[in-house]
Amino acid sequence: MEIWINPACSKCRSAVSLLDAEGADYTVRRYLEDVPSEDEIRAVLDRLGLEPWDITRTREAAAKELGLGEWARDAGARDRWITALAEHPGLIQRPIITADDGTAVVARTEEAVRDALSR
Amino acid sequence: MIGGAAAVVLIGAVAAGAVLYTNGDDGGGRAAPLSAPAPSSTAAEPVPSATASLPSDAPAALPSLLARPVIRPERAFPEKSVRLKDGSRYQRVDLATTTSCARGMSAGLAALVDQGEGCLRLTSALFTDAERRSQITVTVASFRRVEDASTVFAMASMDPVTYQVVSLDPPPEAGLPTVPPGSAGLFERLMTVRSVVFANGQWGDGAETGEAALTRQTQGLLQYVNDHVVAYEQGGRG
Repeated sequence: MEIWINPACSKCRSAVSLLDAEGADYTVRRYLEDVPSEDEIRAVLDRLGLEPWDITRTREAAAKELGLGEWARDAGARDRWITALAEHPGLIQRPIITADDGTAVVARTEEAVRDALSR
Repeated sequence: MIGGAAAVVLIGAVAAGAVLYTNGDDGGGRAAPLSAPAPSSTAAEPVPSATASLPSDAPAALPSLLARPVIRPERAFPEKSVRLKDGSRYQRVDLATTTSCARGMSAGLAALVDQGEGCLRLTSALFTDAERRSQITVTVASFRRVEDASTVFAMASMDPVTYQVVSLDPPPEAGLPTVPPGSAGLFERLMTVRSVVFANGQWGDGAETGEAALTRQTQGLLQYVNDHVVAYEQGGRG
């Protein structure tokens, strides 16, 4: 199990605390410093079953600067979104847990973390 | 890119060692949107061996005080709306606590803590002022041993960039901007019985002006939280 965190994110700290409390075996990836490649983002999206715009923090300043609000949300624009996430990792929603069964969850609630643990 | 190389000390204070740091232009490539200069998760240099010992006149009640659980988040940060003695008002917009203290620390501070017998709880709260301009993260790091708290306080006072706690980013529901990477920040700290209380102050827009106002806010909130921690650690009801 791997968890992508930003240590400045309170929900990331809560998720890690819960993993610790449950004795989970996991690896922490500080994704703002160890930035995922476009291929890694694609792989996580596949595991999440989501599109890049679903895991984009559109209120961030970088999102506004890029004008993400105006970008199309369709197959033709998918690569553009993924490139934006790789170039601006602060736009990636967090925390993301890749579970042992090959799936992943955006673990912003205790229930979501427990869901990942149960997989 | 990250670290203290370009840090400029603008001001200093007494007990808390208040300093406003800026690392200038980060070239847009800096990864972590944290207090400036951002803490690194990879220690570039060996951690110095640092130890502190209890003074010979340490209070006799210390063992019983240390036998108590460390302060809980709701005791350190009891109010969502805070009014300080000077009349200034603040809103607490986020609160996070963890027993995995290293997750909320710079690599340097985590390595330093790892030399001792451990940090038991790290609790952070993010405050903003009435105008919603400032973002001030106050963090309580509580240790198993007084000596470890003393070591952390001493090292953080000497090098607040290397030995810093991570500021909280505002949650989306707070409606506040994430402080731009590379923005100036104010780092202060106080020590209680077994805890170090840190305060990291920044303007939400990353402004480097208004230093006196930011200092006043940061010091005020630091003292407010410190008072709660001291009251508890000196025997108050938890």
